[in-house]
Amino acid sequence: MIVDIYVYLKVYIISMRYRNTQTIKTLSELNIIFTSILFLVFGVISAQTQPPLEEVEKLLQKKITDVTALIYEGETISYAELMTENAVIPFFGLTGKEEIKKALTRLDIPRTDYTIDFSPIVKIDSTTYVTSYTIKEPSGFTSMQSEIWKFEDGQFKIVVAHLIGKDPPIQGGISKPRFFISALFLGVFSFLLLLIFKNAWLWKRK
Amino acid sequence: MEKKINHLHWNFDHLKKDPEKQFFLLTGLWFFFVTLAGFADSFYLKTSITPNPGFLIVHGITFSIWVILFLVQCVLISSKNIIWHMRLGKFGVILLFLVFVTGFHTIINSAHVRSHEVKEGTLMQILLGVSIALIAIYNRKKPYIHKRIMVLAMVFLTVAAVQRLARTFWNFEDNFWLINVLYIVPLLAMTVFDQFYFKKFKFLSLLILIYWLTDHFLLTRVYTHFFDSYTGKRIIEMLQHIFLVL
Repeated sequence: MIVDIYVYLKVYIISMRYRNTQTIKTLSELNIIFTSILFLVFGVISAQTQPPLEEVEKLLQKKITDVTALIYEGETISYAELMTENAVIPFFGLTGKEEIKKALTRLDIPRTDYTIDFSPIVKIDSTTYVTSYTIKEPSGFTSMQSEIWKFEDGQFKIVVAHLIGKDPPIQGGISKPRFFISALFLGVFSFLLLLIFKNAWLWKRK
Repeated sequence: MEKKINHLHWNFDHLKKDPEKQFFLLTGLWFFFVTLAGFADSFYLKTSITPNPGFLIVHGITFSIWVILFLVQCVLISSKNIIWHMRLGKFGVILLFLVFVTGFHTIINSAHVRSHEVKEGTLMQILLGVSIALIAIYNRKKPYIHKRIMVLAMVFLTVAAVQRLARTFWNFEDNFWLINVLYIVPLLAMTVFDQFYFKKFKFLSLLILIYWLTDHFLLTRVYTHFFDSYTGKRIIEMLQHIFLVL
């Protein structure tokens, strides 16, 4: 585009100098040819410098496979190592590599077998790709994840990671069994406390 | 003057009669269950593939014994086993030393292993918890002060359990309100209880509550500033030299 503007300006300057319509016409035609050649050349160069989609797909799938193995080995923090400093996990409201690291260190993943099914990679622009995959455990536990990868400083890093879905689904807070346990616990304690308050209120020192 | 019986006996008549004994037994149960629930996932019922390192197991056992000891002491007082309460109290002093050493060692060693900064706030909580417990033991002849200060020490020493409890029950969120309500419940309940029990305004429990609130919301910032200073950093370095050798 810049080259195109430059060429048009050049044509305008030259035509102003010669003030000749034929010259303008010729130069305009030349400009179209020249611009087309330039676009062709840039297109070829650009296509050559970008890695083919298959290679990127292979590379990112390998990264995901390796990091999943580490996560199931208990090295949950290694997932954060794939992220940029400003990466986000919106599902858990986590912003920044450090915050993500802290959250991941608290995560306990039980040892189990698993399979990963990758969906085809999606290219957003020349440096941005989206991966999505499903992890299935023999217990029936399934999670679907998706990441947006950015090619920066010669390597791919995750800018956004998202948990699309989980089966059994994650509830937006306390799980049902834990809710009942805590409700029972707090209920019994509150009842006993109120009873003790009543006793204290009625108590008379002898 | 209460008669002290040497052998262990289980007469809970006094518990039925005295609401104060009921209240402190309930606090003992509270700290016990909070610790149990808070560390169930990461310690007591842990099923993760990454086993806890040795130092963490020692720290967990020491702190667990301390929480159980508090509950046992409350039971002993409720059943008028004063002599046994005093005997176990001596063991409590030794245990407090272990709580301090294993607590500091775990915080410093974890920071070293996981390559992150030493959590000065947690160091201060353990230091304050142990110091306040020692003040409570020093005041052992004054039961009114002894009991109430010991509850404050327990609040400091079970901070980690409360944080984990909130996280475990609310997935990843650090629920600010839930954590602070869980911290404050025993101290607030103690303040209310004292007003009902003594039928007149009692300063100590209120003072304890105010101190805790001040420490939690104001003094923690002072600690952070101090540990960011040159002297604070040298102290952390010194502690690293001591506890990483252990």
